[in-house]
Amino acid sequence: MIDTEISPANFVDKVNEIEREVGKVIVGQREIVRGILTGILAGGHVLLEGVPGLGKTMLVRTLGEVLDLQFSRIQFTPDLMPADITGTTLITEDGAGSKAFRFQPGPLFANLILADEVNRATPKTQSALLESMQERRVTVAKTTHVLPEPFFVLATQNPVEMEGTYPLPEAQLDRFFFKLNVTYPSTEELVEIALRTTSARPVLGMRVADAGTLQAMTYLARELPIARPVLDYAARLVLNTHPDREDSPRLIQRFVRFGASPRGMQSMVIAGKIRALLDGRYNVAFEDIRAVLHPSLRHRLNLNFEGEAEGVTADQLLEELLKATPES
Amino acid sequence: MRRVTIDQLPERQLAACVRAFSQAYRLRLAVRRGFQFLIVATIGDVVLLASIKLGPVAHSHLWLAAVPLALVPAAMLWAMLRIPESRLVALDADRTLGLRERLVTAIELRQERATGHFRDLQLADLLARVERVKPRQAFPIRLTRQEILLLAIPLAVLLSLIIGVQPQAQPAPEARKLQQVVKQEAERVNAIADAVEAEAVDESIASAAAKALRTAGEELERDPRSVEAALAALSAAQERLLGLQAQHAGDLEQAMARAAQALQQQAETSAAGSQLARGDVDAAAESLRELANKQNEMDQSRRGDIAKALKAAASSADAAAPALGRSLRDAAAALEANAPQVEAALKRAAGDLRQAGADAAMASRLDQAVAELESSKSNIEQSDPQTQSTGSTPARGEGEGEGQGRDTAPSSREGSRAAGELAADDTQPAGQGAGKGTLERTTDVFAPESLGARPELDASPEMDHPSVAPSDRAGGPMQNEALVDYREVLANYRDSATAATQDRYIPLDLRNVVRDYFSSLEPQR
Repeated sequence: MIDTEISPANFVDKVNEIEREVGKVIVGQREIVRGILTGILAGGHVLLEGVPGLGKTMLVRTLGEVLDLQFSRIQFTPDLMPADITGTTLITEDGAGSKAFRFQPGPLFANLILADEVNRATPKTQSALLESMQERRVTVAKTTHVLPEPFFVLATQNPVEMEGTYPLPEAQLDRFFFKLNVTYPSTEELVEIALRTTSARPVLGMRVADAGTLQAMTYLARELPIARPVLDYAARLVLNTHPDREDSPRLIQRFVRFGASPRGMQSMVIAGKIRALLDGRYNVAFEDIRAVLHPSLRHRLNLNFEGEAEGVTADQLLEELLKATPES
Repeated sequence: MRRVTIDQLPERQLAACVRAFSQAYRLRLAVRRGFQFLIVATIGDVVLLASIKLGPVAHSHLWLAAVPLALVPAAMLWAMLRIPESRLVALDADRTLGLRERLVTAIELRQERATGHFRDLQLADLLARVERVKPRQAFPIRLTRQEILLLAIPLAVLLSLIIGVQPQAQPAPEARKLQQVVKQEAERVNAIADAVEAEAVDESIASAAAKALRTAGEELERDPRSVEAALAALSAAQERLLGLQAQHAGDLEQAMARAAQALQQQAETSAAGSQLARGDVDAAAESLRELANKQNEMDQSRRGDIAKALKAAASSADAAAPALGRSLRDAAAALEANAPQVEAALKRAAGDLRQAGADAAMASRLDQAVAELESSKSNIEQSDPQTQSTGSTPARGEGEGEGQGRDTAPSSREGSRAAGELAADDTQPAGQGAGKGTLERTTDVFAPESLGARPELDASPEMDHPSVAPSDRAGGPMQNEALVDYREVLANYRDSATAATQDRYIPLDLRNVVRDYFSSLEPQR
């Protein structure tokens, strides 16, 4: 039953219900599912990084079905043009024979967008997508078209094929709420995947929520209180990602060119609220901030040449950051 | 803590919760602060006790150990009375009880007067969790291992200082006094070395003597605490000086005195003899030079008288100053033969006389230095509390010189007075002792009758040793505070007397009397 009235008491139930339905189709990847769902509930967009064939498209499609949201997939290629994703104006002829320009919406006009291998498209096409992610609207031929709500983009990057790609610039990466690393499934999960996908009966997820429910859940999550010491902790974590700070860990001072923006803190706070709510609590705790630190900030740290040469990862630096930053 | 009852209003419950947790917080803080101050106090007491045990700080400052310890209850009281910020209490409770910041959030929501349905839900969630909390059990007072180690280590050191390290045998003030005295004597010895070098005529002997003295001074400065080392260094310097002095035996002074007497027998040379007897060697040599200049005007009779005097003086000087004896004899022979080289011979004799005077002065200076070293040894011994506490019997005097006289045992006061009189009596005519015969050196205590010694200074027959005070006869400590132990003042009088013999025209032979007198008064070792 779809419920547009969400209380704190059944927020968790609703999320569990959604995850359960998704879990009928998608094997494993519980953290990815939770992360994507957090991104949706936060009104943000998520960047997935993982090898092909891990069910990213299936995941987004299933979410669309469970959440009763329109789903659209865009495969980014080097020859993809901005108009291919935003839409274009066409000359159409009506029944009376008169011709007029009509806007033909592109695949961007959906609730759930899967932007597959976004780093393969040219920067021009990337910016068309990223701009629409930020503005929630598209302007074509001087006419602005508002994108539907909710609007969620799940972009993917292939870490294997980096040749001939256009890595997203740091300013664009900052627009993503979360960056999630998709890991390869375990043996048991692979077996289960095979069983489900090679049988004669496809498994489908049931619709348990809709846009209204999601909006109510989003609003409820943002209402969750957060104490000042916890906010201070999140702020110190973000500030300590900058190498010019005295309190920054030694590794960050050595390997980071510049650190996270205030969007990183926004991401941590909202994600922390959602996590606390999902944990059955009515306030954000220090551990919530720590739990969402990696997905919130790993794509917002810009490594310098030495960091890249040494092969240091953002996750390693964030671990060091956690150790070096006390709660109070 | 009273259990927070469910029927109370949630706000009151929250307030009661915060109060209970605040009390627990203050108690834990008080214990922790007290422990930290205890660590600091223990370390401070270790430093203080070590300083007292090992020397620099006086034992009377032991009360200072109580000062840091007094800070412990003060710090605890302050921590108990001071009301902490509710946010700190809340964060502490959240951390201790695993509330995941529920309490601090609830307090902030109340302080900000926030609205919304989470406000009440959050508080209810909190109260449900703290309802059964008992603060005394929930907030145990625990100390970290590091804190315990920080106390255990200095405590162990403190106990070892109290039990293990024995205090030094002598109290700190006496030890300081001894060090002070040794350092003063070191300076004195160095000053003596400078004086010997400055007054020297024979540079080789003077530099050797100064080197020996400076070596002793360095030894004293190096270890001012050790009485034995100081006495050994001074004794070594004395031996070296006596060894140098052997080349210029005390006989030289007597020889000069006898030569002076011989010259005084004749009118022509009586002036030179008197000057020599006074110790004015330069004047005596100048008189001989004048004789040399005037010898052409003299008749043979006068020449013969002069030659006779010179021969007698030569005989007196032969043993101690052969060069002088030869030159005097040559001059006498030239006078008798009316040879043309009379003037040169007389002048040569004058030069040799000056040299002999310088040698005698060097011998006397070395003598004085030896006496001053003896005085330094005495001062150091007197400053040694062990010597004072054992109440060692004054030793029979062992002077560098010898004197003839009766065995006397002057009381400390009388002996000191005699020495003082001797030193202070500036009117005593020079040479009063001269002509009374050769003085033989003796180790017995005596007061020369020629100096007006009083009979009551004589020792009673049954006494073997000089008395310090009547009470000392029974071997007990001095009871009469009016009496002063003569050993305390002996060095001062001896120094004054020695200085007087150098600075004033005192007959050479009487200088030995002075020296022997004070040597005989030295405490027996």
